[in-house]
Amino acid sequence: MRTVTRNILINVSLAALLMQCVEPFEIEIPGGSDFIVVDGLITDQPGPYVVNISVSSPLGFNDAVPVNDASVSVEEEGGITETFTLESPGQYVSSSLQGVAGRRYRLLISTRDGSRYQSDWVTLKPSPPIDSVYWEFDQRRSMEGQVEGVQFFVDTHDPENNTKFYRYRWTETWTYFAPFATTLDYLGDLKTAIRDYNRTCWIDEASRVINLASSQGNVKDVISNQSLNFVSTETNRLNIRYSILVEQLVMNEDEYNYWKGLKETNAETGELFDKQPQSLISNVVNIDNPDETVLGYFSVSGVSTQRVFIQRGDLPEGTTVKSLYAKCELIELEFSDPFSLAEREVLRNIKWGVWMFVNFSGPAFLVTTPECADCTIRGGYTTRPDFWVD
Amino acid sequence: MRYILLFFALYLLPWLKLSAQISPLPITGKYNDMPLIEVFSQLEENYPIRFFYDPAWVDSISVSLEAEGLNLEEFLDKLIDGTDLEYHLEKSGRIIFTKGHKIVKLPENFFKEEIPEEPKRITYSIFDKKEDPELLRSVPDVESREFTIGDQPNASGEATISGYIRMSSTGEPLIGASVFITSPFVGATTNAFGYYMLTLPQGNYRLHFKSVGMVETTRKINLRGDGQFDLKMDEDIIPLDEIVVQGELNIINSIQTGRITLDQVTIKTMPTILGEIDIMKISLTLPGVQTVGEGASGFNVRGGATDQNLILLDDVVVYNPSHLFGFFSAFNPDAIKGAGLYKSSIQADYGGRISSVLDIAIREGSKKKLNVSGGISPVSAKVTIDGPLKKDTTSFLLGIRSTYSDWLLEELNDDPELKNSSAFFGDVIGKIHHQANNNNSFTLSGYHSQDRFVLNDDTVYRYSNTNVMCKWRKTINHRLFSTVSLGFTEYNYKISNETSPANAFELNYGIQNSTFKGSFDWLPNANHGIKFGLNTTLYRLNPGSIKPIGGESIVDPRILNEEKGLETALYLGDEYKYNDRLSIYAGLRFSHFGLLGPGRQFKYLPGFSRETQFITDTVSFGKGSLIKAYSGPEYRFSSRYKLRNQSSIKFSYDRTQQFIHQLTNTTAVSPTDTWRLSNAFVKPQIGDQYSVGWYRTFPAYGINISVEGYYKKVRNLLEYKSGADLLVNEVLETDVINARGKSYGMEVFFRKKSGKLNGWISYTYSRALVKALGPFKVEQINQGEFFPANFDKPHNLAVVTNYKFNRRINMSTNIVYTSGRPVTFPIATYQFRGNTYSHFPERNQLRIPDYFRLDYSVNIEGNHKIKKPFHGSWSFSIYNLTGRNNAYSIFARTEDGKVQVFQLSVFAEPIPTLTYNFRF
Repeated sequence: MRTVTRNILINVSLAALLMQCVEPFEIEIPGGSDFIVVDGLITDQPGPYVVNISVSSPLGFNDAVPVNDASVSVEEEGGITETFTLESPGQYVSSSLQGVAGRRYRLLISTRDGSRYQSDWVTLKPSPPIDSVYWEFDQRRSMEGQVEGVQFFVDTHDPENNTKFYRYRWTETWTYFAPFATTLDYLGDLKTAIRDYNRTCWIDEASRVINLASSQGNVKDVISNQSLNFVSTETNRLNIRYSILVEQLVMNEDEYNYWKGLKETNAETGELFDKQPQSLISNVVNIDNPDETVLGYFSVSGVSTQRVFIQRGDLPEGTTVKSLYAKCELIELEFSDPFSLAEREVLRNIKWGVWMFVNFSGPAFLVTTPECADCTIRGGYTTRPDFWVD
Repeated sequence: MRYILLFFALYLLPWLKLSAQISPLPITGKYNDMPLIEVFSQLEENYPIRFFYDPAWVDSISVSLEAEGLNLEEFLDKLIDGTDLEYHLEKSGRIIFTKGHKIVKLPENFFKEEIPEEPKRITYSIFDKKEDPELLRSVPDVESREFTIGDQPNASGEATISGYIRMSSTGEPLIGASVFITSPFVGATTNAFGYYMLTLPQGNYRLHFKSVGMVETTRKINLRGDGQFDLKMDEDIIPLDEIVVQGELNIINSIQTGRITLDQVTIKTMPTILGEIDIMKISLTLPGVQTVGEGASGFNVRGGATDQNLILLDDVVVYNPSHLFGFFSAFNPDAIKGAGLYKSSIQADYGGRISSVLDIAIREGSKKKLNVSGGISPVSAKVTIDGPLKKDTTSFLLGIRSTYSDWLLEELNDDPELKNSSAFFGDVIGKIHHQANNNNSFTLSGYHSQDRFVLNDDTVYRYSNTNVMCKWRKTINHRLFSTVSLGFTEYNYKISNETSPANAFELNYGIQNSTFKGSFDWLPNANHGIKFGLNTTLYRLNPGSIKPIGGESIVDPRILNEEKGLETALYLGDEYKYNDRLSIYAGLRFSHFGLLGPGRQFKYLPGFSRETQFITDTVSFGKGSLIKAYSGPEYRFSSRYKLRNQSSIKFSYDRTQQFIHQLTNTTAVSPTDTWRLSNAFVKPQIGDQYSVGWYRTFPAYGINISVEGYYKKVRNLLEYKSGADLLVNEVLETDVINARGKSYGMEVFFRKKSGKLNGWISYTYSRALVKALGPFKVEQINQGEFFPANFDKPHNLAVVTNYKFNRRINMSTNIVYTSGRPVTFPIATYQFRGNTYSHFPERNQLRIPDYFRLDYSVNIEGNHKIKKPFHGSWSFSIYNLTGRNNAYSIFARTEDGKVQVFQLSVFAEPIPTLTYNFRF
C-alpha cells in the first residue's frame, strides 16, 4: 500500500506539463545551521559497530564536522553497557558488543559541553532470509535516451507476518582487466624495475539510495519484485564479471517512517504536488533539553544477505558493454641501433606516469598510457575478495 | 410577454430635407417583377416621398404591380401584399417599413435627432399600443414622461413602489438590479425573482434603474400611494461574450461586507492564460482572494483553506472547479452568466463551508433567437448554442468545450520523457429554462466535465464532475416567493498504473450528493426582506479503493466502506431597513450533521495518541444508524450605516460550520485529494468572522473605493502528521491533527468603472496562521506555536487596467505582486550513513521570493454592423510579459552527493497566445 501511494505521488510530476524552470536558489539562513548528528547502527551480524557523531553544516558545505570528544555507549536492556572508542574523527567503534535478536538497545551520548543525549529503546528484530535476488535484462529511458542494463529485484517474505518494514542496501563488486598490463616499471634514464602485475582488479561500490519496502497493508508479509539496482551497460560493470551483495535490514515502523521521510524530503520534492517536506524526528533526544534539534537516527536491525553473480556471457548475445579501456593503444617506438644521442636523451627523460613501457627490449619499444597498463589506477584493488567465485 | 418589443434598425442615408407636405397623390406606374428597392427609388424620384427600410428585409422581394391613380396608402397596401412587411406613413411623406410588427404611432421626436454625417445605427424600442398603452413612446420619451403610482395616499406620508425588472430579450428576471433615487440617495436591489421594493415619501422622483450589461434608464414617477411598476431593460448592444469582474454596483447601498460580483459584461479586459477567460483567475486579482501559485487548483479566501469555499454552479456544489490540475477553470466562460463571491456576510441561506461562497450561475438561453458563439485557442475549442425551444416561453443553452490537441505538452516541453504523455479535458454545460407563466418558472441545468492525463506513458489520471439541478420558482403573491430545487452532484477520480504487472493497480474515489432546497422570500413590507427555508444534503462517499489489475498483481485490494452523511439546515434571515441610513441583517442557520451507518468506528487506548497499535475495540454500526451527530447554530449578522450620500460603513459577524473536509498533504490541491465526512474524530470546522468596511463612491468619475478589515478564527482545522498517508486510509484519525486557525487582514479596493481608462487596484494585507497543539508530540507542529499557513501571503497587490482606444480595440494590462508564500526548505546539510542529507527546519518558517507578473493583451473586435450576422474577435495576449521566473516552490535535492536548493518556476517565460472568438 505504501508503495502504491508513493508511486502515485511521485508520478504526479505535473511539472512536466508546464513551461517550467528549475534553477539553483541562493539562500541566507537566519540563525545557525549546526545541529548534532547521530548516526549509529547495531545489527545481529558480528561487530564491530560504528556510531558517528558530527555537527551539520550550512548548505553547500558537504564536509561533516566530526565530534571527537564525546562519550558514546550502547546499553543492552538488562545487560551490559559498552562504551565505544574513538577510532577516526567522529567515528566511535564497539569492541565486544554483539547484537542479539529480540533484545533491546539504546544509545547514550554525552558531549564535552555536558549535553546528554539518549535514544529510545529499540528492539532488534530478526530478519527473515531473502527468498531470492534476481535480475532482468531491460531497457529504460534516461536523459541520454534509451539505455540497456540489468535490473535487480528482490523477493522476500516473513511466514510469521511480523517483519513488515524492510530496507535494502547493497554492495556491488565487479572485476576488470587492464589490457596492457606489464611487470616493467621504467624508472627513466634507461633503467627499469620489476613491478606488480596489476592486470585484474576488483572494485566495490556501496549503494547510496534509500531503498525501502513495506508489506504493511498487504494480506501477507510478502515483498515481491522490489526493484533494487539498475546496472547500465554504459558502465563497465558488466564487462567481465559482476556481483552484488544485497543486505536486507528490518526495522520497526518508527525507523521505517524516518527513512521514508528522509527519502521523501531529500529526493522527491520539487514536483508540483509533492508532499510537504517534514522536519524529521530522530529517536535520539537531548535529555536535558528535549526541544533541541537532533539529526540522525540510532538503528537496530536484523540483517540477512544474499549475493548474486553475473558473467558477461549471461547477458543476451550481442549486448555491448562499455569498456573503460576502449581508447587504450599500444604504441611502438622505433629507435636506431645503437641509440643516437638525441634518442638517448628522449629515453632518459621519459617518466613513468606519462608512458608505460610494455616491452623494453629494443630496438622497438612498446609503450602505452599508465591506466591501460595498471588496473589500480582506475580505483580497483588486486586482492581477490574472499567471496569471489569465477 | 406583455409587450411586443421590436429592435428596429435603419441605415439612414445622407438626408434630403423634405419639408413639403404631401396631399394624397395619385400614383400611377407599372412594375413588372421589379426589385422592391428599385420600386422605392423610382417612387422617390417621382414623388415627394421617402422610404426607410432595412435593405436586408427587402432585397429579395420583387413586385409585379400595376397602379393607376391609386392613392399612396392603397398603393403601399398593394405593394406589401404577400410580404411580412408593414409600413407606417408619416404626414411628412416618410414611409417607414418594419418587419413583423406594425408601428402604431411613431414617437414625436423620432426624426428630430441630429442626423450624423456617417451612417449610424440607431436602436429604438417601440411598444405596441395594444400591449401597453402607457409606454407608447421611444426610450428617451418614456424617460421624460411621468408615471403616476398609486392613488390612495397613506397616512404615514410614505408609499412603497415595487415590481419586477426583467431583461427585455429573454424575459428573465434581473437579479441585483438597482432601483434608486439620487437625492437623497435611496435605493433597493432586486431579489432572485427580479423583484424590488422601495419605500419613499410621497412625491415626485426620477427613479434610476441600473443593472450590469443593461442600458441604464430612468423614469419619472409621481408617487401617490403604494403601487407596482415593472420594467424591462434592454441589453447593452456591444458584445456580451466576455466575463469581467464588476465590483458591486451599489457597494454603498448593499448591506454585505466582503461581497464581489463577477458579471458577464461588455468589455474584454483581463489578459488570459493560454487564451482562456477564467472566472477563477480573474477573482484572484480581487482583494482577499489568493492562490498558492500557478498550477495550484483552488483559491484561498481570507486565510481560508481551499476546501472552505462553497463553489456552486446553479446551486449545486462543484467539488473540483478546475481542469488540468488547476490551470484552467472548469467552467466554459461563454455559458456563464456571472458569479457572486461572498467573503463575509454570508447570509443564512448559504452554509456548509466556512470561508466563502462562490455562486456561479449558468446563463439562460435567449427566448427570441438562436445564437451561436465559440472560440478557438491553442489549447481548446468551444462552442455555445442557445435559443428558444418555444418562442418566448422556453429556452435552451448548450456549451461544449474540449482540448483538441496535446499542444501544451508538445510545444512547451522537449523532454523526451514526456513524449508519451497526453492531457485531455472537456466539459458540457446545458440549461433549459421554461417560463410557464408570469408566476412560475422551471429550470433544468446540467454540467459534466472530464479530465484525463497520461504522464509518461505510465500513470493514468481521470477525474470528472457531474451536476444536475432542477428548480421551480413560484411567485405566490407579490409578497411571497418560493424556490424549490433538487440537485445532484458527483465527483470521481481514478488513477491507474499497469506498468508493472505485479504492482498494477487502480485507485478510485467518488463522492455524490443529493440536495433538496426549499426557500421562501417574504417581503411583508418594504422595510423587511425575510428569507427562510430548509436545505438537506445526503452525501455518499466512496472514500477510496485500491484494486489490483490483472492476475499477477500482488496489490492488496483495499476498499474503504462507503460513508454516508446527512446534512440538514433550517434558516431564517431578515434584512431590515430601519431607516434610510441604517439597515440590519440578522440570520440564524441551524445545521445538523449525522454520519450514517453502516460503518465502523475504532476505539483507542485512552492516554495515548491515536495510532493503530492503540486500537482497543471496533464498534460496528448497522445500516441507517447514526454513528455520530453534530449540530449547532450559525449566527449571521450584518449592518450598514450610510454616512453621507456617497459613503457607508458596514459591520458583519458570521459563524459558519463545515462537515466535509478535503484531505491534502501537499502544498496545492492535487488530484489525489479526497473529501471525507466528519466523524467521531474529525470534528466539524467552525469559523467565526468579524468584518468591518468603509465604502465610498464618486459617481461622477465612476469610481468606487472600499476598505475592509476582518478577523477570523477557525476551530477544528485539519492538519497532518508528518508523512501522513491520506489515500485509502481507514484510520484517518491516526494521521490528522486537530488544529486552530487565525487570520486577519485589511483589503483596499479602488475601482474605476467608466471612461476610456478603467480598471482597478486592489491591495490586501493579510495573515493566516495555524496552531497545532495536541496533547502528544506527534500532534504538535512547531511546538504548538502559531505558524504561517501554506497560503499566508501578507502583501497582495493587483492592478488591472483597460484602455479602450475605440469600440473595437482595447488594450489591457494586469500587474500582480504578492509576498512569497511560506515554505519549508533545508537550512543545513549533514552526513548520515555515508550520504549527505539536508535538514528542514520547522514548518513554514521560510518564504519563497515575492511574486510579480505582468500580463498584456489586445482585443480587436470585428465590425459592429448589426446586419452582419457573424461577429469575430481576436485576442492576443502575453502572459508574464517580463518572463520573470516566479518561484512556485523551493526545494532541495541531493545530486551527485551534494545538496542543492532549487527554485521551481511555472510559466517562467512570456507566453503569447492568439485566440479567436465568434458569435452569430
